[in-house]
Amino acid sequence: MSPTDDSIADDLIKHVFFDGLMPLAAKLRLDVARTPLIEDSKEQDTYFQRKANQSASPEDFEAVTYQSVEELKQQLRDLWEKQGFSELAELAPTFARIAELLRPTEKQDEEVSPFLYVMF
Amino acid sequence: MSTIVLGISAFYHDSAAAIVRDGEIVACAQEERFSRKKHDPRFPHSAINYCLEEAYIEPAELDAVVFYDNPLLTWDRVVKSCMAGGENSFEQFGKACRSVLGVKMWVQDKVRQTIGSLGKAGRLLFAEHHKAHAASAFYPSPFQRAAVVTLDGVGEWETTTLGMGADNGIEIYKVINYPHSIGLLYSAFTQYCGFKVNSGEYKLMGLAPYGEPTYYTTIRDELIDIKDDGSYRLNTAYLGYLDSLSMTNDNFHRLFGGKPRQPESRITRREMDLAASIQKVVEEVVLRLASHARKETGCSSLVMAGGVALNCVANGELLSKKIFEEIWIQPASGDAGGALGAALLATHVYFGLHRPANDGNRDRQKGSYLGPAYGSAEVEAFLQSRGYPYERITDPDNRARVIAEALAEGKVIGYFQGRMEFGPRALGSRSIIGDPRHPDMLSRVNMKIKFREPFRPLAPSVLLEHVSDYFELEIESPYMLLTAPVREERRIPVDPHAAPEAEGVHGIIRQIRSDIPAVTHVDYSARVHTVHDRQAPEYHRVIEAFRSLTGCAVVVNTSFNVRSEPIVCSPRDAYTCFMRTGIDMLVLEDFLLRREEQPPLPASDEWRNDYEPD
Repeated sequence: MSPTDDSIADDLIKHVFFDGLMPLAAKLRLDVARTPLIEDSKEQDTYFQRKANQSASPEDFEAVTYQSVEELKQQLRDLWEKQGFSELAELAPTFARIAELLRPTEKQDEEVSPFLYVMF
Repeated sequence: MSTIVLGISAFYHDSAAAIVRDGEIVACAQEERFSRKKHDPRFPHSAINYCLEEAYIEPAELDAVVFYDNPLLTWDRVVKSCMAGGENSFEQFGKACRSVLGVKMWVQDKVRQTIGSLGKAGRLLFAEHHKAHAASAFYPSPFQRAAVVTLDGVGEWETTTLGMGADNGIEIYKVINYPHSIGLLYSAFTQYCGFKVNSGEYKLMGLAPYGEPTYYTTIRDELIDIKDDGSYRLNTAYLGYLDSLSMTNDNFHRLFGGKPRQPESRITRREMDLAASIQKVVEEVVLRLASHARKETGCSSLVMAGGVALNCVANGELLSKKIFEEIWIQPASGDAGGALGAALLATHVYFGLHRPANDGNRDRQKGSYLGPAYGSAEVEAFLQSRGYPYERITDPDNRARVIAEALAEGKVIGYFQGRMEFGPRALGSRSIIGDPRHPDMLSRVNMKIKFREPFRPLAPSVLLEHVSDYFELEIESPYMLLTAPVREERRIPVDPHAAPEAEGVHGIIRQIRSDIPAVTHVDYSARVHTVHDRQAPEYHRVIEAFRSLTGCAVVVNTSFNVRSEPIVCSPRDAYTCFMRTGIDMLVLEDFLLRREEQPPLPASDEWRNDYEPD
């Protein structure tokens, strides 16, 4: 990753966040069923959700298949299309481009944010 | 033909590598032990190289390499979390782009660069995070069938899961997803009490017995709703991690009476009581989850993993309630264990291998002695090349006797022998040991050897055959994952009001609570490590020699490191730690080094700057 790539990545990150995700977040708040992380009611008996793919199966291990930036873009797109988040799927190319710009070169030791490793 | 799988965990905290051959664990190690950076999250180059050497294989001989996490699902969670957080979460989003899109997404590049191969599978395999945790709990356990509970901060989306393992397979039935996480809630209190997230949780647990759960009702009313089945929801209005780089926010601070405690500042009654309160909440969740797991699965055995499973006080409570007949917890329950779990899961699910036969109903974790060992020739070469004076005692009984005599004289010993432990606890391979009968041993070890907070308890290693002479515990605890009360007849009553309030924890610590005061915590509990002669013969021999000499079958066992430093790995690490601290004697395999005979290290405290305070 060169300083130029880093600078382009910064711009793209700002762009996708403020021009992509935030308007989408505002739009989705109108659609309660699809809004991420919305609070549930205390009236339920349980907060557990049933897991979709309960059994560990050989196919699980091959769910991530991308080898190139193009394939990463496609996998992100497919993931969100399958969830019914087509608006997010439209942002997949930008995320893939950011990933490409930030991809470590062989000589570079990866920068892992000391905070981010808490959760990400 | 063998089936050999390399598992890798990285880019969260506690990166690690593990190799499993035909279902048998061959080697596991955390990267921090080699890099000397505590909780090192970076790609585990050195740990991988060690595992390959231990397995005596070339990378091309690997059948598969498997990563313990699905980065696509992690990114899905990041994006949606930031959307929910709004514009305030931009800083978080920016950092996540660099860490996830820029690093984690390209993990297979790192594998290729490190070992030049992706194994015979020709591609990197990916396990789901909590399935890897579940696998790390079930497959090494002694059980053919067991309920499985995993609890951590967060994986891709899941934070808590409940399922079952049977024969070869694992199923996860129910989940709780981010942002609702008992692990992250506990970390929020950890940070608020002035400790570091992902390393300070253990300290918060140790602080809890000093306090009263006066905030329990507030936490239950305002922060978390817990159902009878153990599932729960958090009130995210009080939590900062959704849209900021802090675990807490102003709402949280107002609720608990002010700003967070500054790190390294004086611990007050507030922190003690908060620790006690959140501990009570965690125990409640764990107990309810366990009860529900019993009902759901019908299993009489339970296995657990995920970082919250390292809460040995909650585990002790769980054991005492006898919800399950047997419990087994993965010693490397945090993310390091995910490497092992991923390798085991791939072995038994992807490749379909049957679990190997269980020898005498013991577990398959091999005492968690899964890291590198150093032979006598290597140790001698190291000592001679540096000119460090030593005495070599090759006869094991004689050596044990000399060590026991030193312990009985009140000496503190750095004890280094055999294969390094996998997981956060020292189990007699990389341990600092001492006489638990000395009233000043606790403060001496904390202040002059570990250079750490005075309230931190010390743990006992006890001969298995004598455990119930000292503790209210009838079963093995080989991985120091359970607390149990010191036996009533050994306790010395203390007046809780005798310790001056102004002295805070110091006054409480100085009170003698039993005839093994150094390992008796303020609530008369101990984090017990039982030593089995077959699993740890050398360590058992030393403690037996101590018992013969003194009548006491217990030694103090704390990890061989100073605060903020990873546990020592090599003889050089051990010697350096020995000479930088107040340790009196160093045992390196069959070599004994006495402090007074050693050449002085260059006088400097600058080495402490090498380690970021944890």
